[in-house]
Amino acid sequence: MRWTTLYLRSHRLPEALLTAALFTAVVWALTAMFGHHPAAAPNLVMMAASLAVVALSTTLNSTDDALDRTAARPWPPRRAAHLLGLAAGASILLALTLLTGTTFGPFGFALRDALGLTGLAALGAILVGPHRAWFPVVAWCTPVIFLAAGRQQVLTWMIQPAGNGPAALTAIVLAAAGILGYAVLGPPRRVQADLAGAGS
Amino acid sequence: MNRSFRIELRRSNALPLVAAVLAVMVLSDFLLGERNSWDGNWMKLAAGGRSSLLVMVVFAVGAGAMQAGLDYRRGVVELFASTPRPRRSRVLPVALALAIASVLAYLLTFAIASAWVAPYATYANPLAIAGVVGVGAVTMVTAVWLGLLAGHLLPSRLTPPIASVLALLLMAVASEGLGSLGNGAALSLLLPDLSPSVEGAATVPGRVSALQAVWLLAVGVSALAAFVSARRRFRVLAVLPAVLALVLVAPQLPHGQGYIAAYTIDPRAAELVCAAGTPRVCVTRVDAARLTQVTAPARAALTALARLPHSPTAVIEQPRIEASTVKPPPSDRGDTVWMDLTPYGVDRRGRMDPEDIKDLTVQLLANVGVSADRCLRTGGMSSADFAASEISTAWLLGHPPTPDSRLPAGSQEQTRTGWTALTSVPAAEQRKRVATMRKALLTCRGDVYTILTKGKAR
Repeated sequence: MRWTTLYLRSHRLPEALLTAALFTAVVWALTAMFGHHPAAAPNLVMMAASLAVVALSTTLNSTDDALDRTAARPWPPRRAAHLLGLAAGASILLALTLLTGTTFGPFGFALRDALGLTGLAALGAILVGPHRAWFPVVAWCTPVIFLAAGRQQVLTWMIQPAGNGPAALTAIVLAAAGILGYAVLGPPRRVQADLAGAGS
Repeated sequence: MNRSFRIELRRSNALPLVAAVLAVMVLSDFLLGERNSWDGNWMKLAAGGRSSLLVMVVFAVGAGAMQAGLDYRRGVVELFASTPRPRRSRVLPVALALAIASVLAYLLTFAIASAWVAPYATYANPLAIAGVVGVGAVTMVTAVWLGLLAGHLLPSRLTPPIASVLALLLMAVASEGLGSLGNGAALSLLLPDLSPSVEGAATVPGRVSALQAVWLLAVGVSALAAFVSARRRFRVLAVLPAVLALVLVAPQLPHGQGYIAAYTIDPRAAELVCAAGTPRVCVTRVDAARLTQVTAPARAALTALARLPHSPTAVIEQPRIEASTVKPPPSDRGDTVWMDLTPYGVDRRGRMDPEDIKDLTVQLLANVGVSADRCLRTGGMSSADFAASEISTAWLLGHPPTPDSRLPAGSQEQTRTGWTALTSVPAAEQRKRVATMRKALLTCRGDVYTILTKGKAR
């Protein structure tokens, strides 16, 4: 327990959770103010999910990845648990809105987006470094905000209806690739070298 | 400076920024954009680039914020501060490299997309287009420098994502908010967001683009100055260019609401190009690529109208920016049918949708070929007026009206009963009633539905 607490604190989980909650609350408040239906539009649910994942993904960042690696701990299950926890956190944040008058749902939709986007952030952490893990999420979601769910269901998987097959498959592939890949590989060593001696 | 600039060009976020912007724009525009052909119209393409800034500034701000945060991540801030070398000579190359990269990304996107426009473009006003594209490029520079400033002032790992998202929200929400302010100068033009006008002959005057560029560049210079300056005092002074530009530019912006205030009709783009032969069919120069496609349906409409006495003899495209403000030219004595091509786009091979071409004849016959703007009836048309238009169109085409779900409630029923009433009288009387309806529409007098169904205006 003590290890987990220290780990989460060193990865700035409290700040990230607070920011994720704030992001979700802001999108929720704007939707409640300007929306006409109790169920938020799919683009807004995606926006809330992506912002929550962006905020939570900053916890992939550690103060010193190179030092972390030297610890005699089995890292893969811990990294996988970390990512699954992030996806769960984002889905719970979105699910909380189901209790209110303006809902980010259905839950299957929120869960799919949270899982898929977390996988995308993990892929970002592998490829461009944990401190840029949020980038692929923002890069993919930004143009999709202005699109309608129609053609190209794989490219716009985040805004497809909850039961959509290709969209669910895309999310699962992203989640599996990201979570497994990050669990096994961890953050890239190149970035660590770049940041050798990092203070903050 | 020169050497460190070249090193920063390779080492900083500059090249990843170009790659990311290009990848996302190409994917979203070319895979997801359904009919993003910009109608073979350079101005629509340039304005389309400006509306994609909504997406591109997210990358620019993010790249800047990430770059500025690196010193903190590397823990070298205090080390660098202790060297005698001034801060500006160290960070200016980075700022310059990112600025050049962002401009390059914007111009490359424009260049790639122009491959879809160039083959069908029939008109270009290079100065106006350069202005619209230039404002977009300046916006990218400003966004990168604002990102640098944000990353420098708030060295947190959350800064880059938050700054990116805020940029997106600012672009999306603020232009709406500023657009609804008052009736004075169009303050929403302070933001670079510009949607393509549906009217092909619309243009953004060079003066408007120049004003926008001055203001946006001033904001960028302020951000850069605040980023570069090592002392707090100078950082506060750095807002001066932006404030000065705001005071100078805002009152001079064109009056109106929203981005549409930026547009005027380009008289050279609106010059008419006519099809060979008679009857006369003309479109504006900027839409000339569509002339061969609209000639046949336009002549079909004239043939249908020829069943009436004093029938019109020409179909001419009328440029319009906002339908409610358009009035037909004073020379119009009812011998011309004014054509509105704004609802009809062309695909990436310059072709109009076959359904649209079929629809064009019907649209031209609406209100017996009299423009709804003539008596400023747009929006003021009652359900009976719509029904009368449906009935007369059906009569001219020689087949019963087809149910149209776009009609207002009540119109469908009135169309059915009115059609029965009209077709129950002898053919000569039918012709007389439709001719009377046309005369009533031309003179803005009389109730057209009553004319059609009862033969007399009440």
